[in-house]
Amino acid sequence: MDFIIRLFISFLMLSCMYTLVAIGFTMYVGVINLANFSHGDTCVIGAFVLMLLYGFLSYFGITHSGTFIYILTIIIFTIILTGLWGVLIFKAVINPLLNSPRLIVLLATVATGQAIREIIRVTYPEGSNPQVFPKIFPDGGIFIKNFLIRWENIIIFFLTIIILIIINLFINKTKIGLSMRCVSQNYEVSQMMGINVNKTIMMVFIIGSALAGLAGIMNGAYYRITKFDIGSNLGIKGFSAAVIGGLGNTYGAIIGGLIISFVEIFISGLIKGGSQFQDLFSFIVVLIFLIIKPSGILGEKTYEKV
Amino acid sequence: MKKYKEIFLNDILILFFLIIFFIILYIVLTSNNYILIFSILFIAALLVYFVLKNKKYKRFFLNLFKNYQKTVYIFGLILLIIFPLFLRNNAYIIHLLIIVSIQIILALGLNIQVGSTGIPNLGFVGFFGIGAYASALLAERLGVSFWICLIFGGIIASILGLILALPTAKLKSYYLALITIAFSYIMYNLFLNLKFFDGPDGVRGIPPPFLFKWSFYNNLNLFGLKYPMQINFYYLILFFLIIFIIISFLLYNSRIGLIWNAIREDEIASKSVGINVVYYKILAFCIGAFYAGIAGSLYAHYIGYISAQNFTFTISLAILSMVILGGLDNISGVILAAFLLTILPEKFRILSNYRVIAFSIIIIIMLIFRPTGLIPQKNRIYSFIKSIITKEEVNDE
Repeated sequence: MDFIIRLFISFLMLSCMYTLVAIGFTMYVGVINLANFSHGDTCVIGAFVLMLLYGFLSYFGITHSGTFIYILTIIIFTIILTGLWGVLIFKAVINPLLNSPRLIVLLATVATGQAIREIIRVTYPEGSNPQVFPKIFPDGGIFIKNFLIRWENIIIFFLTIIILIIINLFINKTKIGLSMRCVSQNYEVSQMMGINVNKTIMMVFIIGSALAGLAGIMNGAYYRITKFDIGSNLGIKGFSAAVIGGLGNTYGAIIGGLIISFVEIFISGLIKGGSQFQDLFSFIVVLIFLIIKPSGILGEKTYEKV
Repeated sequence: MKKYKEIFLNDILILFFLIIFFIILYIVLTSNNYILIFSILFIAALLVYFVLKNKKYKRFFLNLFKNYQKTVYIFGLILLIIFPLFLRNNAYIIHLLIIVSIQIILALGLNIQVGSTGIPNLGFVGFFGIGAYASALLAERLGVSFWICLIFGGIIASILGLILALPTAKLKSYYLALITIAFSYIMYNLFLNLKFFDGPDGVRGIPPPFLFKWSFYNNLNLFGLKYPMQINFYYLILFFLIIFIIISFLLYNSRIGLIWNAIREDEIASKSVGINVVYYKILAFCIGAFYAGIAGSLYAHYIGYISAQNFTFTISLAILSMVILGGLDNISGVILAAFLLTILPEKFRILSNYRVIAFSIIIIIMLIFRPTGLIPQKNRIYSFIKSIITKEEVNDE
């Protein structure tokens, strides 16, 4: 029974990360019909920015790791910095290519991802090796019937839920969220209606990158280790989650994240020698879903207009 | 009499230009001084730019190379055959040329899918891998002759393309891109983990090709001079490369190529004029996969050892960037880009650590400032349009 619970917890953790990445993908595709394949590597930026911040703070002797304020400030700063990175990506790569064919943009973002990976590998001291992720969350946890649930699991889980609620409110209740939904429905008409399309798309990039940065932090904090190339895995799994759930739908991203991480964790946990094949099975699930229901679980079936 | 003289003069001129081209190629390939290489390439690019800018020179060169195409091809082929003989002490350069040729075959195969038909295939390396593994395992375990293995590798890859395409040909853009990514990851995982594929150790000791009981691993003796064994493979792969280039041109100029382009431009419109879109998409998948399978088989038998690490996702990205940088659907552009993108990273090994960064940033800059590629593909011109255009040109003058 313990084993099942442990599997269940790691399943929840993984689905939190995948969901956060998938929401970014689903927003990009939903609003400007563009899959940003450097999104996974933005997660790595989040993780490494937090490590730099941690080093910076401990240089000045501030090491209250575990306290609430410390966690909050360090995470918020990282999120802001990765959000700024999103602005940079948008200004430098996406904006000049906004009107060119999608295949070109796809390749540009892929190249961006590769550049990010290599820059981190080359410039970070001993960047090619796995890095020990700083312990920002408190030790210990809550005992439920002799079973220890660590603080980091609880924090990651509730943080994800809070973020999801905030994102949902942001998209549905604020003015920028309204303009995002508007742009996603019709680019030209929303321009005519006086929406600052550029600003809206930039906002999408800020939110997406910030969420990806958060996912990177969670990944580091959960596995206690991070590497320059974890982003490609996170990115592709996140994109799979977004597609399974239905591109352009935030609830779909959650469902997709749950499905992908469920397959990954339970295949590797319950089947002997399954850990070798966990990626294989999750991609086979993606294949099956796409063949049976190509528009995703919650995606609307679109009819092409001539 | 005057006419013959002119033809003869033009032949000499073409030979002269081709020889200059090959000398530059020789310098670029053999030199280790990357400043020299960079300056040569820069000057060459500037020259090409100015020649194309000036109408008079442009017309002269176009006429020369268009009216005497046969001479260009024959001289070019002869020079390609002679060229490695000058590299007797440089086995590594011949190795590079072989790798370039394999990459060109791969890029031409992907060009059929991405360039002609507009299928966003991000998992092309899967076909490459299955061709290599099928051929290598058949040769290693059952001792089948290389030539049968080669065909077998190509056919297995195209059957896999068929299996992948049958359920997915109806999908669009990102969904299809994700399917192909998933496919390449699945293939990678299978190669890495299945006992059948020899797991993480990879397949060792793949036998070399034999031609009438003569092994390709033997050194070649020509006119009393010993040449490295790479030169055998160079001729073998050059043979296949030329066949594939010819097939690509034939396909482009055929009805199938036209239908593929129609599908790329507008799927609904091509459906409405009675084109079986799914059938032609599947055809593009199979033919592209066949290219990759043959390339994989050649690669496996040349290197003699393959493992899953040779077939990672990054390779599909590299091939895709060749196709896009060369100019979608432009065969000569793809060949040029495949050449540059394989040779230049090798030449800039001095910058080892920063190589990939520079590479990706150059790709991004290229995409932003010249998204149509190095040699953009022109619209197809048919004879009845051609007559109108030439008439207009005459009127202009």
